[in-house]
Amino acid sequence: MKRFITLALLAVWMVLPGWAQHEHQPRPSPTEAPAIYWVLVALAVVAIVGFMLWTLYGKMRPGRMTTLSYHALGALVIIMTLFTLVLYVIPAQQAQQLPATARAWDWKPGEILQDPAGSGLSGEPYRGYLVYLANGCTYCHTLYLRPEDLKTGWAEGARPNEVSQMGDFVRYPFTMLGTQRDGPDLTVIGRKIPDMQYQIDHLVDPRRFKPKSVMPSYRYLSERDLRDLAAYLVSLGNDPQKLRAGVAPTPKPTEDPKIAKGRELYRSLGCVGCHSLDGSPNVGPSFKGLWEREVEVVLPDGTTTRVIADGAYIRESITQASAKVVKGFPNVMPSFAERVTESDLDALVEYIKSLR
Amino acid sequence: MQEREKQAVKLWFFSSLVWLALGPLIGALMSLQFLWPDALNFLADLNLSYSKARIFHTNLVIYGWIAMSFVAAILFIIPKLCDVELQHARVAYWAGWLWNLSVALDLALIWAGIVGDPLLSIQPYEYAEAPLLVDLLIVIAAVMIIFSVHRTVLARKRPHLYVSVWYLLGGLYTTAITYLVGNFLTLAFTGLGNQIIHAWWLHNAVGMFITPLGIGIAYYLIPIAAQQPIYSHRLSILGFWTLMAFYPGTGLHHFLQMPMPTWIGEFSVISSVLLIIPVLAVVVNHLATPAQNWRRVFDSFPLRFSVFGTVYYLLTCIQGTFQTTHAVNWFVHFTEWVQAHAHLALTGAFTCYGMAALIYIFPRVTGRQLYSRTLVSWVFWIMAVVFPLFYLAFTHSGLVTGVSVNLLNHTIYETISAVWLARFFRTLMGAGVVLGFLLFGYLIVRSLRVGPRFEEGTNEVAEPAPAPATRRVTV
Repeated sequence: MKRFITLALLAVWMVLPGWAQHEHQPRPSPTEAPAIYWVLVALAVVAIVGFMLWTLYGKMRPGRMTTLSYHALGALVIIMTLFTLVLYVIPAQQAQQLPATARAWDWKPGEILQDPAGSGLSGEPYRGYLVYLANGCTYCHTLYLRPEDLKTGWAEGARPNEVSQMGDFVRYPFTMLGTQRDGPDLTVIGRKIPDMQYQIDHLVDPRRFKPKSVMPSYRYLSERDLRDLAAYLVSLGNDPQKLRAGVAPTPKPTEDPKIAKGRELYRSLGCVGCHSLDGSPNVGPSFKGLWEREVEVVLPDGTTTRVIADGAYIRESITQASAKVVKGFPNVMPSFAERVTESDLDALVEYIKSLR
Repeated sequence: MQEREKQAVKLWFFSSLVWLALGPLIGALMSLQFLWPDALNFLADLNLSYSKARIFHTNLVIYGWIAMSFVAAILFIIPKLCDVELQHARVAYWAGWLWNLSVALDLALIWAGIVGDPLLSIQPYEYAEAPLLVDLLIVIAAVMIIFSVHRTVLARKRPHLYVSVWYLLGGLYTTAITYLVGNFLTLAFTGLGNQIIHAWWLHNAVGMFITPLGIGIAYYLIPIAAQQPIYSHRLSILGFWTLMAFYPGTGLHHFLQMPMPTWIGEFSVISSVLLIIPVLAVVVNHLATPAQNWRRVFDSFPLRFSVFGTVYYLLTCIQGTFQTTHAVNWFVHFTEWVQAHAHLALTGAFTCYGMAALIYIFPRVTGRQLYSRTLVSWVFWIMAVVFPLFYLAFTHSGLVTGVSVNLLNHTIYETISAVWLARFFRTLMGAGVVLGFLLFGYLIVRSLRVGPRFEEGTNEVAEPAPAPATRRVTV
């Protein structure tokens, strides 16, 4: 009787979590498994139940085993292990034959990427991926976006169409999707921060740009390693064809020197790390179309109000960011009061003005 | 035991202690990265970083400490159970040097961080980072060990195979298969297929390598130290075969949320939940055996450590089946909850088994008792009290991260401040656990010189003087 109660409890233990997952399962509708899979499952269940009943109630006579039976059982251990291996090899075979999606990473050994931000730097993304491997980046950063990540804080600034699909990975020589996130997901980091110089500076001294970051310094990497790694990061999340063609708009030669200075400051101060130029939100709001727009901000006491993003507001945000934080964004921006001069502020305001 | 057998066991035994001192120490050091990241900037001057130190930590603990202490135990246990001397003991001895060389070379190559060399660059698979060159050396060493152990079993004088032999021999074979898959078969796949094969390796590194070996050792130690026959041979058969049937398929539960055919993910979840059957079979057997003679748990340290290891094993596996289900997994995935779980298995369960084995073997290969009961008790209470606190802080950090990021939509930068205290506590308690390991190493090395003479039938740990003769028991 006790045994049946134990078995019944076991069954409940197994069924309950399966029940719960219907409500929380983030990925809808299971893909159809081949019919042979369900036949195998049914056979396995029958075999397991039969085996359990046999070990619990069956007759066992000691000393009946021959040497041959020992060998047969030993072989069975190996066969069982190899059997599940085959169950993994079949979908693995299928997965690597999928057609690649349009934004799938596609860089071959020896191929060079020019910095889209126009700094004149260049690097080899394929080799950068190997640098990423050799330094264990994958232990804190993942390379895939789940649908639910868009709603959580794991991947700020990611767009719905950027959720990873099977075809995104087919051209990788090997994958490092990652199992742990101590830092942000990097699937679209290149789309968010298409700037190699920033990536290099950030690798060398992460807390210069992100004061709360716990990332270690990678200043020990050689210059070539840094450039290649930066090229790899910049390549992530961008259409490879566009990157090869050079997506960066070349700065107009007749440009106001103030705007040019502002652009340089945008990079060197690390604004690029959080504020995009293409209208997509990242850790902070995009600079595109920011000038003289009405924004809703949160004051330090928690109340909200509306302000016009004019020169005074932008200056205040740079020197004392927590005074008025744009609603919907975290209050994590450091103060730049001691790192910018009056003319720097002018240049940054002019630059943001030019981004209408 | 013959001198050459002892030599082989001793080599694996003492090498494992060196790596036990080093691996967790690196772990404690690198946890500072999350508290005062600038304090570890000096690592960059040594061509090191947190991420490389993490590979050091996992590889040292698995290949240095767990693997080597388990092999030492296997080389000791299998001949006893087969009633025959260890065959080809010299081969097992030289395999020990080769294994040490592989681990040291592995460290050197991880540190060097060579880019794009097929033989010398590290591989992108967690726990299988060892470069191909090291893999080859490890395979040779493993083949040497399997050869020696297999020949011993074939030459046995006792026809009956006790369940430990099943676990240890079967475990060595599945270890070989798993290692070959993780380090070589993965090379044949690209893209997402590569990740699926990697997943097969990732969990089987624990499931088909560490688990059967650890359980096999505990199956030997518990009855012999408790001086009781095993509670149920039926359960041991059930446990062994269901472990072999359900464990290999579980790997993909590490990547449930990656884009892949859902049915293969479901397969891994079902396998993982079914694992509760072998776990309960093993745990019932391990706890019901000494229950008849519970006083021995206070007298015998090998028994005390292995019973505690079994308690941690039960907790790990209940947590494991719980967290593989989708409902839980989406919440705890990517957080330190999972790493805490890994520590509960390796630091809690299997390190306890390893320590139990070492305490049991030490007097029998060196002829000396462990010299201090106080010190062993300290190590035990650190494992019993400080380690759970360490684990709770670790898990707490994971839960807070889950709430902060999944439910409150905070960014990772905001979350880092929220978990600071939990991580601080984790480092503090982790340092305590490392201290316990160092004490354990000190205890054993010092016992080599000052330990009283050991005779079969006396306790492994010296009694406080004057030693009462009434404590003598026969095994």
